[in-house]
Amino acid sequence: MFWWLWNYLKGYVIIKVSGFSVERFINLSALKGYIIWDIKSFGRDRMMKASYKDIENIFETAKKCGCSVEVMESYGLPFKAKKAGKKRVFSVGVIIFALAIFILTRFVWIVEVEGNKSVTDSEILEFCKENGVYPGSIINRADFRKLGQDIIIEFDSVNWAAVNIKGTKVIVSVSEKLPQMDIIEPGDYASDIIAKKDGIIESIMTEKGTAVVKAGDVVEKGDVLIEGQVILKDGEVETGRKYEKAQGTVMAKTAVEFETRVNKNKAENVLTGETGKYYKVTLGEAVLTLFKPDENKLYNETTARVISPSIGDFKIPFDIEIINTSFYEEKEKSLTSEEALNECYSIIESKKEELLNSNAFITDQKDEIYETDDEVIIHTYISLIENIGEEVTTNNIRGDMVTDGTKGDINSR
Amino acid sequence: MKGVRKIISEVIEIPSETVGSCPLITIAGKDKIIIENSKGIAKYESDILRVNTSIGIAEVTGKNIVLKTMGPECIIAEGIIESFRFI
Repeated sequence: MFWWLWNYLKGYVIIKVSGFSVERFINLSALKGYIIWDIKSFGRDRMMKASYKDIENIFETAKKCGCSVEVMESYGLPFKAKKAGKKRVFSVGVIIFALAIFILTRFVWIVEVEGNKSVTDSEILEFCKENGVYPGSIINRADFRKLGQDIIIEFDSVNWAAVNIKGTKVIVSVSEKLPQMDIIEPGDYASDIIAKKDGIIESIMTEKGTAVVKAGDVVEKGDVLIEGQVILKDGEVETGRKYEKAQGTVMAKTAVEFETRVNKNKAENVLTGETGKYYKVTLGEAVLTLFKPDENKLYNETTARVISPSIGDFKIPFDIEIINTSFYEEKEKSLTSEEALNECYSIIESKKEELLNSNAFITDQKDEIYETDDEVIIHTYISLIENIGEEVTTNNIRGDMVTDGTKGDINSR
Repeated sequence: MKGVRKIISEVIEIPSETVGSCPLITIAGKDKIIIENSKGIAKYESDILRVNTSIGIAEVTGKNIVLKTMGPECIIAEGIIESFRFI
């Protein structure tokens, strides 16, 4: 492949050599370093490929060997270019194309941000825009090194930034600082953990603060579960209290009750089997839609493919999105009791998934089913164990100490 | 000189084709033959190829033989190879 490409770029000819001593001609050509290959025998003639640059020497060698050389065909870029050079419009087109590519590559077409976590892409992009780097800006006018330094100065959480250009794409790479240690800032308030719903405490795990409830206690919404006050002791003797941000997990048994109704008569989308496709051409913020189906028709759409043309690293600033459509009609459908019940249960399952946060699990579930002519109703009663703790800030400054024996102010929220 | 090269290659135990002009002939499958250290072709037709070497003429017979590469010391021929011999 590469050999062929190399020869194509340099240009080669197919020659027919005939005469008394063709072998001598081949040996002499090879000895002198003339590039010949693909030598084929056709009776008394030999067809072969020879490099375009050696053709004059090959003629001379053939003359010495008493052979005749006939150029049958010529291939490669030099010949194509020579042929194209004679066509004025084509030549002008090539020049315009090259000029257009040259001019277009002078502009930034895409700005990408990578490595950011706390700072959003839009914040960094906005800052880049203010500093003259945005899609459409001229590459040579931008000072990418300075922009990288300015990003570090502008954003506190960024401790390293580099702005690189790859083709017409600007890549802003940032590295953010590691999470800071727990430093008490002035005006940082302490907090308690309170119950966000009624329940019976199952377990309590205190990471910071003082637990004021224990397993088996019945708590109501708003009750304090973990106080932000830490008791300081010298042996068994309390020496004071310190305000902190309470942390911990309080698992409690809670109950949830809800009702699910499903109407037996419902509209259903029935696919007609008709499908189609249409195109969205995006150029910057402008969107051009081609062959979009009639708006009176109902259809689902899925993106089949997004074509983002580029020449190497040079991204051409438009996208073509191919969207598949499948048409449907709305039809009235009557559900059987069983179907309505199944739908009810699937709704209940999705509600249960919403209820279950990362630490919750269901201990008991009871369903009461009612059915009328039009609908199926299920009353669901669920017992679950979940974390009911919710952090609430108090008026006490974090880190403050109370050493006068008053046990602090627990009602200062 | 040839004798000296042969002795050197035997004494220092290296392949003779690397120090002298002894041909190295490689046949890959039934359709490719590589002849290194050649001294040019003596005869070439589509069904026969004779190559001069320092130890005699190497003859390849077959069908549709094509000289894919023709260098001063290396010849690569492709085609349906039926026989190979020194004559």
